[in-house]
Amino acid sequence: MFDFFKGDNAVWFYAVPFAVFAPIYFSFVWHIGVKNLFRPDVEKRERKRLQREHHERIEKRREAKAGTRQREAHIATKPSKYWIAQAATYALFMAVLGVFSVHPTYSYLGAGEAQIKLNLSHPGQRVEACVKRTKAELAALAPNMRAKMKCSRERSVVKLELEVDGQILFKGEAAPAGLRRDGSSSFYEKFFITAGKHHMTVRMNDGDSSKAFTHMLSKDVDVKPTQNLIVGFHQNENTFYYK
Amino acid sequence: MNVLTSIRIFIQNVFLRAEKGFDRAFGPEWNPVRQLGTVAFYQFFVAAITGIILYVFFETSVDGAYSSVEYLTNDQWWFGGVMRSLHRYSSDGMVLAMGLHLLREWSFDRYRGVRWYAWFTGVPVIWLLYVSGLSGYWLVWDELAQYVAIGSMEWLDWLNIFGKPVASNFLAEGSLTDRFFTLLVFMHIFAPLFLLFMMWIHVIRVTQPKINPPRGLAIGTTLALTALSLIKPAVSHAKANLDVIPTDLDLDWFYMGFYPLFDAWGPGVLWALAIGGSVFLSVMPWLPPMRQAAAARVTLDKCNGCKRCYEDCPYGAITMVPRSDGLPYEQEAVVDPAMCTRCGICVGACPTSTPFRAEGELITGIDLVDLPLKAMRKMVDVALQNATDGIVIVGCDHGQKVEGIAGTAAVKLPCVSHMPPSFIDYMISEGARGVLVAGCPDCGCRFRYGVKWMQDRLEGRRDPYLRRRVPRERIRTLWASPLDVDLLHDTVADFKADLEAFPGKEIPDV
Repeated sequence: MFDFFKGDNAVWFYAVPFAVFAPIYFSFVWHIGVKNLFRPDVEKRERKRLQREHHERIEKRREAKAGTRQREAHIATKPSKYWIAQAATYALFMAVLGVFSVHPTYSYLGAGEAQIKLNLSHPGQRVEACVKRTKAELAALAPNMRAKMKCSRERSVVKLELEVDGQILFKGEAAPAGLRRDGSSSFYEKFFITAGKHHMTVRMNDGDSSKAFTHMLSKDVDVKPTQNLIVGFHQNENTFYYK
Repeated sequence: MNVLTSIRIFIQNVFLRAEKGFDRAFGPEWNPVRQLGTVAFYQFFVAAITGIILYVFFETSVDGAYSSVEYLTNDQWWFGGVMRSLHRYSSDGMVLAMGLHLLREWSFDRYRGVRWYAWFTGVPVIWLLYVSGLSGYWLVWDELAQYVAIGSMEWLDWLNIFGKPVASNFLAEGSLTDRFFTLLVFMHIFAPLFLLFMMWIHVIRVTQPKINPPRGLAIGTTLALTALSLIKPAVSHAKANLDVIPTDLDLDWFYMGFYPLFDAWGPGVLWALAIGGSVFLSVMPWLPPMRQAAAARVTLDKCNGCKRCYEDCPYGAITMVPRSDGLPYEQEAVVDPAMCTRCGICVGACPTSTPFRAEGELITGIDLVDLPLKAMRKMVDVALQNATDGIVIVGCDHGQKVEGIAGTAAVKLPCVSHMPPSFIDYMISEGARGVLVAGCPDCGCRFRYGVKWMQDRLEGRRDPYLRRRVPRERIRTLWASPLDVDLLHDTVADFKADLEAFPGKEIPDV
């Protein structure tokens, strides 16, 4: 996929921006502090040497007091132990990062399960029906405002129900979006179900109080394991769908 | 002592024990437990540099994102793969170092009082680190990215601030466009930039902030991260498919530990925890506020504007301003009480802080209100009388237990660097056979630079110096952990033995 000279993935395609921006970036990183990592610090080294000498003296006195018996010693005076202990610390650091960056495994979905995602965004009917303006009303308006119909902006609350195998899985309502409540009502819910055949019914009332529901789709659906089954609404076709 | 304080002290002791152990393996300066903040900074730089390299090869498209990362991981494992793993592990390491750093500062009660600022500004650092890390996981666009992306969006949707649920953009295959990945790349570049900015804000208030670990520790960390990258390279899950729900996920628990909680408890509880936890962390410095002594005070007629206190203050609490009292000096020191930790390092730096004066004249240019120079000399005089073997130990309130060692007497100060070197001269002149300065280990000073400044003053690298006439054989220093009790006692015994061999000598009057 990475051709050296041709096509969108040619190496120069990456190399040129890298060559331009990398020096700027690296010099920034360098100057904000990385450079200090490479400075020789003679003072520190000297102080460390003095400290180590002090510990060595203490240790010699301890050993002299204790005779041949080994006493607790500062590892810092014994180079091999010193490096081994450091290596062990780094190994522990690596182990913690290596293990917890991937373990333990988390099971999001059980075996033989699938997910239903109820997702739709639909504007409810207008709270007040549109009224046709009379000629006098139209004439009273500025020429650019002369819309024939006078409509309120506020939309109705949308009610939604999802039933699976005779059990109500979701029943709720969503208010219209917007400060003036003139946007769509949105639903986003997810449920886990066992894979297999299910009878699903989704019902909605978008603001007609004379009916229980204004839209409905009832269907047998064969859900496969790990499937993400979408229950949505086609705005253009004004119908539900299962996908 | 209430339960919380007991827990805090217990954790403090765990850290102290770990520090003592690591002191033996690494030496005090390289001790990783005392360098958690700098190690976090360093790992940020590792992640930033490897991230730039990865970005060169990354394709910002739905199909290209996954395949370009796979190409790096498998076909170019020897470089791109190592870079990817370094990027992953350094960012994980940053979470680890940050978490331990936070816990350590809390356990040592270094989050209240004037230190509130670093603690308070650390809270947005946590958020930004998580945003930076998680946005990076999205870029791989594997099943894990799918899970994290949808989970994060569902979490955000709970706030109901978007007209339409954002999570519905991840509904099914085909929902996403290539431009989404351009947006993600921007997010993954700008979040770490903000993070770096916030990390800068986090340390900006102190003078000479330490952001680089010692070289040895930096090399060791890099080698460890590289070795881990070769032993256990970071790999992707299967390519994301929005029509299929991922089942088993190898979560990066450093970043994603709260996603299973989200699945179990729902977004509301998690928001309550996240916001509640952040607010609680932010106000912790005032729960309850620290009772502090009065801040250092400048006595203007003794201050000649020499700037030594200004240069030595580790917290930037002293500023130099134009002279206000008509004395013929250019500047005078002014202390900001809101930033003063009452450590007394400024007193130790002031050239007028000398005990060789009559009691009525013991006034220095800058002094601690609750432990003025007069009181310090009284403590020293009492110690000189009580030290039956003639050894006075100068210790600090936060370090080794220097009291009660047979034959010696202790002078305890907020920080050893509170004591001006002229006091050591005074003690030897007044008959002390020896003075042992017992402070915290390198990089272990509660007041950041107390140990370093004292070392430098005694060794003639920093003003005010210890006068040449003071026999160095009569002075001993010990920079060790508060838990190193045996070492302290052995050092005293060693010092006593050495002093036996060193006959008393009159100090010439100079």
